[in-house]
Parts: sequence; C-alpha cells; structure tokens
Amino acid sequence: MLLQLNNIFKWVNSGGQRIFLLKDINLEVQEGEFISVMGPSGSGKSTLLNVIGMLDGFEEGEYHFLDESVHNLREKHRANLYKEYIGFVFQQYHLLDDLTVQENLEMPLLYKKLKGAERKAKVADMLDRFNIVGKKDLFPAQLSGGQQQLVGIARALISNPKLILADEPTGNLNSKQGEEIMDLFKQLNEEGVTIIQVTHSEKNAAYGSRIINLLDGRMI
Amino acid sequence: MGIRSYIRHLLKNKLYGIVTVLGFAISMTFVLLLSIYIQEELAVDEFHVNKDRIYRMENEAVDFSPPIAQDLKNSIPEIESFTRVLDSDARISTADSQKMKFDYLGVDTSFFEMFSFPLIKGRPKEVLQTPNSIVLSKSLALRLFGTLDVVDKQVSINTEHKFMVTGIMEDFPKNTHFKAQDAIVNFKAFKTLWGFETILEEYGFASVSIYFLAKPNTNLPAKAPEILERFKKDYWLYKDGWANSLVFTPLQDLYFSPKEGNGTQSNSKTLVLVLSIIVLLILILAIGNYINLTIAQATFRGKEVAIKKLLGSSKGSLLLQFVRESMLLTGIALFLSLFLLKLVEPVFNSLLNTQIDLDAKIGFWNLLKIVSVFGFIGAFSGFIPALKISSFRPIEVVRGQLRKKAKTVYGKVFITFQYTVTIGLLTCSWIIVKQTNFLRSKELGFSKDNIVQIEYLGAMNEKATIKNALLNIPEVEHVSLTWQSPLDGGSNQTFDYNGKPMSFQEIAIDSSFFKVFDIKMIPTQAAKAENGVYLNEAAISALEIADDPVSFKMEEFTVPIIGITNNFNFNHLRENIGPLMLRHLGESFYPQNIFVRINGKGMFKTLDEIKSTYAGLLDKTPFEVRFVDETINNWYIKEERTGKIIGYFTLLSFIISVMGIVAMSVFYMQQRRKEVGIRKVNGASITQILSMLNKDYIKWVGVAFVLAVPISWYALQSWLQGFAYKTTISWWVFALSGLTALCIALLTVSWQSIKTAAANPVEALRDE
Repeated sequence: MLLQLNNIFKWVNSGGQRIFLLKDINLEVQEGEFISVMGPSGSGKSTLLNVIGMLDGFEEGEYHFLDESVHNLREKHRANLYKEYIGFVFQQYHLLDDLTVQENLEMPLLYKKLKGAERKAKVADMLDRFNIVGKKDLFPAQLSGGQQQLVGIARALISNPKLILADEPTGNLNSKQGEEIMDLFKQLNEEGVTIIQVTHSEKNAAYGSRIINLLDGRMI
Repeated sequence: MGIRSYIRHLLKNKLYGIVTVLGFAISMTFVLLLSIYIQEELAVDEFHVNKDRIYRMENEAVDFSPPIAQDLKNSIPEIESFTRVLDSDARISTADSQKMKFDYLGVDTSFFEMFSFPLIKGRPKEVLQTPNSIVLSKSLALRLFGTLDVVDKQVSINTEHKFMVTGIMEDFPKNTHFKAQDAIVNFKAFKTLWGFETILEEYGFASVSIYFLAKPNTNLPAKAPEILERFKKDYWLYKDGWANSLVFTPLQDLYFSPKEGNGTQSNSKTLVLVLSIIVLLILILAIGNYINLTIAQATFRGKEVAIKKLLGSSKGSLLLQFVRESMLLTGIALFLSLFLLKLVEPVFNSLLNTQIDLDAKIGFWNLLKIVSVFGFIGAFSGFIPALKISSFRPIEVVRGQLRKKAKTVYGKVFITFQYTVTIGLLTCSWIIVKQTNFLRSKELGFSKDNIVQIEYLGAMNEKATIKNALLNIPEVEHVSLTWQSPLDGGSNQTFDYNGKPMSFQEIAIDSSFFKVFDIKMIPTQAAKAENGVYLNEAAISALEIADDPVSFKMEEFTVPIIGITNNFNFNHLRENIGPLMLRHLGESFYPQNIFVRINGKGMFKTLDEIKSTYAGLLDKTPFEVRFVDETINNWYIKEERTGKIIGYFTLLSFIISVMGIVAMSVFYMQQRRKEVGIRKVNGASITQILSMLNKDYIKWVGVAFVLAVPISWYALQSWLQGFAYKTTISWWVFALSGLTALCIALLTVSWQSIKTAAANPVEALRDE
C-alpha cells in the first residue's frame, strides 16, 4: 500500500461559518494504480490532490504515506517525504520562464543536493527518454503547449518519484497533444509509477484503473 | 466616491500608507530645512544697499596700515569713501552699573553710510563724528541702562575713558560677515583707548581691515595691479616681502573667504556645497522612493483597474483617478512635513549654530514654491504608474500577467544608488568622528588636566598679590601668569634674521609656567638674564643654531637662550608646531591669563574657592573661569558639528533606503511568488528560497559598496588635507560601513522574503 487517507476533513471559516472543502475522505491507494479524480468545479478535486501531495494540510483525519504518519510529521520531515516520493504536473505547466528546458529539469535535483555530474547525467537521460534533446537550450516560451507539458512531466519524473500527481494535465492542450500526454502517463504507469490525476474529461479518466467522484468535498 | 474608496484602500494597507507618507514627509522636512539654510548662507550681506560697490582690500591676509586708506582715497579717483575696521574688547560701565566685558569695532565716520546696519537712534552720517562718540547695540544698551532712551548719556570704557552715546543700532544680524558687536566707536578713539596717539599715521602698525566704497559704474578691482606696483616700491609691508599680492574682494564673497579680518565670521563654502549636494541627493532619493512605492502599490491594484476598464472606464478617467489619489497622499505628506519642520527647527538651529527663522521664511511665495514642488511630485508619481497600469489590456491584468511585465531594471539601479549614498555617508561620518577623537586625544606635549584658566583683571602692581592669594588655597599647586598662552597660538613676532624674515610666535611667562603645564624644559649654558628667552625645538632648528644654542641675534639685539622646550602644541591641531619663543613676563608686562594648577581633589569646591578669593581681590568686575581641557575640547566643535550633521543625514539616508528596499522587496517578492511556489513544489526548502531571494539584494549592496568606497575615500582625503595631524582612513571603517548597510538591507528584505518563502505554494500557484 502506497498511501491511505482515513476520515480526512478540511475546512475554512468564512463569515463565522465553517465551509467544508473535504468531508470524510477515505481512500487507499496501492502502488501501481492509475486513479482519476472527477467532479464538477469546486468539488474539491485539486484540494484533495494538494492534500495527498502534502502541499496543503487538513483539519481532521489521518494520512499514512508508506510507513509514515503524515499528520504527525513536522513540516521539514514532510517536505523531505514529498521531495523523495512525489512529482507534480500542473495544468499551466509551471515551468520557470527564465530557465531553459535543461535548467528547468535540473532544478529539483539542486534541492536534493546531487552532485553536478550526477545531475547532468540524469538530465541527459530524461531529455533522451522524452526525445527533447534538441530543445534543451530553448526557453519555455519557445515551446508549444504540448512540449511544455512534456518538460513538466519530465521534471516531475526526474527524481524517480513513486507517485505522480497531475492536476488537469491536458486542460490547456488541444486534443491531439492531450492524447499524447495521456499515452505517456499510461506508459509511465505500466513502468510502475503510481499516478493520480484530476480531470474533467471522461475520455482521459478512462485511461485510469479507478475513478473517484467528488461532489462538495465528499466522495460519492 | 473615488477618493473614499482610496482612503479605504489606504486604511487597509496601513503599512504602505505610513511608510510612504511618513518617509516622504521626513525627507522633505530635511530638504526644506537645508534649502532654507543654504538660501540664507548664500544671501549673507545681501541687505546692504551698497552691496555691489563695497570691497575689502586684501593681501595674503587682510591687514594694512591705517594711513594707507587715506593715501588711496587721495590718489584713486574710483574710491568714494573708506572705512578702517579694527576689533577690540574692553570693559564698559555707566555711572551706576557694573563693569561689563564688551566687543567693539573702531571704524571711520562713513561706516553706517557704507553698510546698511539699521540705527534705532541717531543718523548714519552723524553718529560717529567725534572721537568720543559711541553707538551701542540694542542689547548692550538694554543691559547697561535698561532702556533705549540713552542718547547723550555717558559711558566709561575701562573706567577712565568717557564716551558719549550718539546712537543705538539694531544688533548685527546673523547674515553678515561681521560678528555680532556690542558697540561701534570712531577709529580715532584708539588714540586714547590704547594710548596710541599716532595710530592714524603709523605705517608700522599693519593690523586694520580696510573697506572701500567704489563710485557707481567704476571698476575698482581693476586698479589692484597698479596699486600693487606702487606698494612694492614704497610700502614696507610689500618692500620687505611680508605681502606680495593685492586684491579687492567684493562684499558678498567675504563671508566665504578663508581670510579672517577684524571682527568677522565666516563659513566654509565647501560645507555649504557639501550640504547642497546632500540636499539634492536626498531630494532625488525621496522622490524616487516615493514614486517607487507608489508604483509598487499600484501594481497590486491592477485588478481594480482591470475591472473598471472592463466595466467601461476610459483611460483618461483612470489616469485622473491615480493622479488625484497620489496628490491626496502628497498633500498629507506636505502638512506633515510642515509640522515636522516647525518641530525640528530648534534642534536644527542648535545643531548648525544658526538662527533660521521659519516664520519669516515661510512667506506666501516660499509656500507657493513648496506646494508646487509637492504638487508636481504628487502628480508625477501618480501619473507614471497610472500610465503603466491603465495601458495594459484588462485581460492580461485579470490573468495576472501584469506583474511579470512591470518588472523593471530601474528599481535595481535605484537601490544601488541609494546604498552608494548611504555607505558613502556612513563612512564619512565615521571618519569625521574618528578624526575629532584623534585630535582630542592627541598628545599635546603639555598636560591639560586640572588646570584652570582665569582672565587677569587686576592692576599692574597686583600681580604678586593675586598670585600669592591663589597659592594660599590648599588645593592649588602652582599659579602662573602669562601674556598669551598655549591655547591661543601666541602673538606673532617677525624680525630680520641674517637677512631673512623670521616669524616666531611669542608667549610671555613667569617661572611657574613649566610646572603648571608640565612642559619639559632643558636649561642651556647661558646665564639667566632678564631678557633671556626659552625657545622650542622648532625655533632652534629654524635659527640653525642646534650646535650652540646660547643666544641669537634678533635685529640688532643679542638675545640669550636660557632654555629649550620640547615641541608642545600651542595652537589648534589643524596647524603644525612652528617656532615658539617664551619670554619672561617682566615688571612692565600686563598679563592676560592666570593659569592655576589644582590637585584635582574636590574640584568644584576648589573652583569655588578660587572664584571667591579672586573676586575678593577685584572690584565688581565679572570674570570668566574655564578649565583648560574644556577649552581644548571646544577647539574641535566645528569638526564635531560637521560630523553630527553628516551623521544625521546618514541616519536619514538609512531611513530612506530602508523604505526603498521595503518598496522594492514588496514589489519584487510579488513578482517572484510564482517562481517560489514552483521551486518549493519541486523540493526547495524555506532556507534555500530565502537565500535565493536575498542574494540579489546582497549583489546590489555589493555594487553600491564598490562605488561608494572610492568616492568617499577621495572626499575624506581632501577633507583631511586641512589638518596637520590626520587620523588614518582605515580599511575597517569601509568594511564596517558596508557590513552595516548589508545587515540593514538584509533585515529589511527578509521581512518580505520570509513571508514569501514561507507562503503556501498552493496559493501562489492557484493565483496564476
């Protein structure tokens, strides 16, 4: 088992009222799964993804990731955990505009304190694997949306995560580019990476092995 | 409605509002204050009606012989009139008042016609007609008589000389190159006052300043070469090589002249220039900062603008809104700074030793000027960001792409500039303090502690009585009577030595002198004689008699040298130690000073005892008692004041640059929120983010440091040129200044960067 959420509640207080973002979420994810989270706008999909990714906290409940109890961990420890095991892919790609493709890929490795040669090797590996060696010195603005997302995924993968969290990864892409990205996810999943994606599209959801539906913060 | 929503915005962003308005107001207060001061300094002597026609004749100094004035008037047709000026002090009294010390000038009858010093009583033409007429200043008249109705009343100078009050003048204002004087007498009065019957004809007495009033539409200064030629032929001062040049200096340059005349005061042009540069720098910094802050804040309001635009507001009305808001802000700052101005006026006056009278200065026109400067700044700082924001397409603003676009280089350049100024000022004030301390703690060659200086006011034949009376006080160890002293540089004595002019300073002392000041003196082989002198080592080497220092020829006399002293300082440490001659204070010498060495036990009690003993020996005359070490400390008051001024400006520039950094960091962090979010999601820790964000600021401060070092080094080097004894410009002062600036920059920027680094990346990324 990769991770387990037990009775997760998340809320904010607004105007004296408690507004629930997540309500009693129970979820177990095994290694190698490919899960699609679906639901209308504001149903809590992204919030759930951020909680799983440890970017956001929660008010109640328990979260176990591998053997660790995330809800009891200190900030620093938690950061180490996700740095080690989790990669993120975003709808807006979130590449750094001032860095080249190569430098964007290298960035997470800098924070893992890898040596220069080791970083170079991993970046070269990744460029090769995604067929973007020719684009390594270009800036994000010089790439198409599909290519940018390719770099985004490569960056998420570069530190060999066990889990990839993708928030509408194809939301800004046309259908052909989107299909290519989804095929890539499928392939990664077959290679053993666990994937949880948020999506609006039934078609993209079908790539996954399991679909979770959310409505008003509650799993249905 | 626009303004109301803006006020609501300000209240919500209190910090921004306070920093912007208060910072701007503080800087503008300083700018206004200094501008007024500079304006006043540059306007010195402007009130004289004849200001364009008055010249002072100058050689290397400003000293000429009294008859020269009349000689020139007789031979140079350009001259309309002249006045000689000689300053002195004495004691004045009325039939029933105490004796009071007072400063006065002896001048010619034309004085009040030439200069426009207003008379309260009497006519300019008439008040100085007779040798025994005296014009009192208003304050002296009130002190002596308690009323201004005193024309034709009699006063006595030094008891025996009777003078008739012929007029009352307003006290001299601060803005003239003449020091405040208590009275003016006719030049001829020195005949009796000094017992100097021939003063008007005596060419050998070259100590008076001479002012000329030129006839209208003539060019008196052009006559200088001709007069110089003549002087070289028949005026001993020039013939014998004491003076070599001659110029007519216009009245309005006198205040900034380094030459000290009779009864004059001066200011350093460099100081005024430096202050002007500082004012300009602060003005640039303040305006730049204000605009920077406003722009930074305005970008946060991009969304408001976008929505307004989407709802159909025109570009013009948006511009107007921004300008109006900015004007409101500067308006608040204006009131605040006028208020602060009034508040710090006394502090400033005591600091610079000036008498700025704000109420007189803040007239309608000046107020209009100030208001228009503020108005312009308000309009400008509203307009620039408004132009920027209102020209963005609303869709970009809504999407949040504005921040990226608003990124500018000029902010960085500006921060660098600010820090250059700050580091430079900090270094300068530091070195000035260091130099002042250096001068104060410099080994003087004599002991300055536990010595009390009292003016000698007794009669000629009371010398021994007074000395013995003081010696009877148990705490008093030694008493010495002197004419001149190691505190005032001595009197200049020039003579011909083997065909060369030789210039010695001279002090007359009694035998206790060396004990009082603890000066090392080695007696020579020469027998003690009444006319024997002590020379310092500098004098011995100037005379080139180191082998056999027993006597030297001073003109036609042979003077025995009975002792040699070390080179102790007898002047302000700006000067090098020159040749000094200590002569015996003989029977016929009237001493000026009593120096009393006390043992330092129960200092104040001793002082009281000295005072009462001395007062008992004098008849009513008030006297001053000072500690020698205090007098020496006061020598460096000017340096201390300069140091203080620059110190305050350093503080101000720190305040301004801190504000600048706050503004820039708010702006800059906003731009980098997304980047920080992405990096954090990819594993960056808060510390890593913090060091990344702060690195840039360190870089800018570094550049500023590199720029500031040579500039301030050069400035300090030239300032120290003016001193014979210089402190070293140590490298650590620069290093510490740089470090201080860096620490402050980091503290300021960290306030913002910690917030950014600690923020939840989810929010930063969601906003995009």
